[in-house]
Amino acid sequence: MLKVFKKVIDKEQEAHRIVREAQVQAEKIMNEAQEKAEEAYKKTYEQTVAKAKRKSMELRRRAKEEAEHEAEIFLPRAEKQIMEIQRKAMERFDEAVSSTLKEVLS
Amino acid sequence: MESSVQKFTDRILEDAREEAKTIVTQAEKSAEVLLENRRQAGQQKAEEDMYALLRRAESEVEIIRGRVATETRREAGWLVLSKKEQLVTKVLDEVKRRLEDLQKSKRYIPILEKTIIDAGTALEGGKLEVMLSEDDSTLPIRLDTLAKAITEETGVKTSLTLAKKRIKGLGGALVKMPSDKIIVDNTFEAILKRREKELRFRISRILFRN
Repeated sequence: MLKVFKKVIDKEQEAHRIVREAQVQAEKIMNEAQEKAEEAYKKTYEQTVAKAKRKSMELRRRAKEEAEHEAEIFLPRAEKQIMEIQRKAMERFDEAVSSTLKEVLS
Repeated sequence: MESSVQKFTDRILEDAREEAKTIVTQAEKSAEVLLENRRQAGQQKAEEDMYALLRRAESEVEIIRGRVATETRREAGWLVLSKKEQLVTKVLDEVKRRLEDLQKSKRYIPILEKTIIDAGTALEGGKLEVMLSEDDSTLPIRLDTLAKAITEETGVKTSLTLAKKRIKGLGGALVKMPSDKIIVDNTFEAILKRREKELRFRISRILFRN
């Protein structure tokens, strides 16, 4: 009878050990998962933010290029306008000189 | 007896193994959920920050566009303005050149006389001295006639004498009281300088009218 009890107690102890080992393994899994989760958080965040930074840099670069391109178109237009101003002014040059002389001498 | 004990102890172990398996499986599932949750949290936080980053970039883009456009307009405006200034100056230079020519023409004497009368009238007559350039001092100017004209204009008896001191320049005259207290400078240079702002405006109106 004693032998039977001993056997049952032994097996129950073994059963406890099995469950304890499982609990230790589960704790280890959760600890590892916690570490991996923090890494995953950091990695996902950094990747997404880096992508946004690249996109915003690209936006700025493109905007600058476009603006400079517009300026390159605009300035020759201004130069053309200046030529036109000069042409008209030269047509009225004598009139302006005569009128000024008259004004000074009057 | 032996057999039932064996069955009982086997059952104890089997239950323990089952429980152990459940504990590990649940831990694995929880780990997966935790991992996914954190990944999603990272994504969500990044998207919030990304939104702010992109908004800032967009506003900077607007600033860049505005700044380049403003600089371009300013540069173009400056070019136009600078050209206009050059053209106005060119007219004034031509006016000076023609005034120099005028000094050599017959039309000059009445003009010179008028500048003397205007200056004398501005000084309200009296005893006055007229300063002329070396060349103009040899011209047949009737100072007494001019003095009479000033007397008529001001109602003050006026006499004009030619000062010994000479002036340099394009022409015109400088009239002063003998005490040098008051001087009216009606040389062409002085007139041009005095009225430069107004003349530039008038010239601009002629040259650049639509």
